[in-house]
Amino acid sequence: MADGVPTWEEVARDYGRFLYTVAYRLAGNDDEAQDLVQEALLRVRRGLERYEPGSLEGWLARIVTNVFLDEVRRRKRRPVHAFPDDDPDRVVPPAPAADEAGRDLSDEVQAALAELPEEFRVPVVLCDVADQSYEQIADALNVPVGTVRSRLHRGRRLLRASLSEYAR
Amino acid sequence: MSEIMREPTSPGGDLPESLLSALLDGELTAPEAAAVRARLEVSPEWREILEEVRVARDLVRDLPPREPPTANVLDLDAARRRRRGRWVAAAGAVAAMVAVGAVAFVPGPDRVRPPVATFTDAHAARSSMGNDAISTLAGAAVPEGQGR
Repeated sequence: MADGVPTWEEVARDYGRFLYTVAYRLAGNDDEAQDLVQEALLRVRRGLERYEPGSLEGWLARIVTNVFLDEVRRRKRRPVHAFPDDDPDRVVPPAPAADEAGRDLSDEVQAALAELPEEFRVPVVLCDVADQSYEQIADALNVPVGTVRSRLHRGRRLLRASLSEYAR
Repeated sequence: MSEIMREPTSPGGDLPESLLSALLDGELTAPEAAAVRARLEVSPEWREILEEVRVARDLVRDLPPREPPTANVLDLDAARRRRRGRWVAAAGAVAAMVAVGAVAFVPGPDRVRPPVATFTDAHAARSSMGNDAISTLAGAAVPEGQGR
């Protein structure tokens, strides 16, 4: 890492799991998370020249969030048609119903997270998964800090309502 | 009306409920935190909401990190191949739609080809009756009173 600016290889090696975790919590499944991470890494590659040393995780979380929101907007513009994927290394997760009996608390929380509308899910993931401050989230989403606080709170209340059996 | 103005407030109506999440996250100034704590002292409803958001927050924060299913996910060449593959698939779909549209909406050759054989036969039939078709038409076109 020269002058605090990492190489692309260092980002992929040291922050790959962080990127993937954020992508997975946003997307809700491995297949889409892989797409998000790969697109995010391509943007990281292009953006590293302009990266100013600071919170690398914040920068990466912002990129993967933008990729996710671009994808959400793209899907709203036109419905997605599935094409067969010929990538032999691609791992397709089992359908959620297939192992319903084996679901643990993490699966339940993830399912509840995936049910949240994107406007609430994104601040929850950025705050509670990517550990970003309200100000960083506001910058990433281009909204006021008060809006972040409000959406985050509503997202948490919705989550709590759908996970009512896990009171503690 | 802004999003903040619409959100629920404390029983007294002067503090937005979202300050409870901000209190948990350490995102309040000292005076704000003091105001929220004072409200919590007197409001069982706010204490209940605080507990709800604390549980939700902890459940998400306790989720384990997720490992990429394959090392390929972090491979730049694989990312490029995947993106290229998606473009090719999208271009193929567009080409297929254009082809289907062309077949469905462009008139086929039979529809625009004039029935030359039919015209020729009809003309030959009229001509063989002694007066060719052109002469017959000319006779019909002579103004009234000037004809034969």
